[in-house]
Amino acid sequence: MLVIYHSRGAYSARQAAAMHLGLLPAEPPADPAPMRERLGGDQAMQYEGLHVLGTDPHGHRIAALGRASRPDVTHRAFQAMADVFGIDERSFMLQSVGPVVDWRELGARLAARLGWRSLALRLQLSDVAAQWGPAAEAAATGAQRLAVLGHGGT
Amino acid sequence: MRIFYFCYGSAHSSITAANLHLGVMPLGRRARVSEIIHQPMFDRAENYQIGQAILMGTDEQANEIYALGLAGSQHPMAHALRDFLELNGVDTGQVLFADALQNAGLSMRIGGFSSRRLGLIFPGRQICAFGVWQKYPKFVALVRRIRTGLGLPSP
Repeated sequence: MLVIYHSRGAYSARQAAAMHLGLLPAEPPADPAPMRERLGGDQAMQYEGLHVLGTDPHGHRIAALGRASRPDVTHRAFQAMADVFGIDERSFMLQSVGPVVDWRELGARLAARLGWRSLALRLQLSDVAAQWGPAAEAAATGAQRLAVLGHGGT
Repeated sequence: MRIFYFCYGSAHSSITAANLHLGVMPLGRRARVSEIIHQPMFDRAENYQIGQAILMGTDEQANEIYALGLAGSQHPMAHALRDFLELNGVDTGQVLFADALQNAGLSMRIGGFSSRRLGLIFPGRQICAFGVWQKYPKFVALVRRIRTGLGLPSP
């Protein structure tokens, strides 16, 4: 199964995906700066489509997506592709991470666009720290859903 | 091939582009505002339908033409959907995502918002259709580019 964690920006989804794979701890670190780099650094600020982080012990591919949009639209769009192209809807699972609108992430993106790198970085780090809990919750939910579907997980 | 003209809400830009591609709307001249308003599926999609792919028809080469609303993140989502298809073994050489929203002007956005979000259907639809009329050459240019790339005639 392809598991897609999606958030408004890319960091939260990557956090959840990394936690699912055991690459990040569920407990927030004291210093989020190294975590930001492990989550992709500046590159993760770019919306770059689906980013597959790896495969979990049950063989599921774990991906992250910065959707920059509404979660319901994201779900419908992926479902639409599955319908049009005959992709088995049981072969993928979407899990939303964090709030619908992540103001810190938006602020960081805006600051980066304006060239205010220092502010953008502070907001990003703040966002990484703030989204740790929601990301851990999403990763746990993702694993539970997989277990309920009989696809492994915990 | 499957061609997805995408925009915000699959109500105006993508619908117009798809109808142009299919020959429902004229490519050789600027359509009248009344024609724009009465084209199939114009200003019809509801909020809960954004994200659904609307099959508008098939062209002369039997390519399937869709209108697709992706809300606020058209390009990232189009990118992600293409990635999703690739990960599922779909030949993405047979898939095209075309940005119809780039042609939308202020009138279209105001009219579309008024109709679809505020429920002011009559004035909103008129304003939006006028906006499409204003930007009609741009929609024609987009569709001509797509059709030419497919080897289809563009009158």
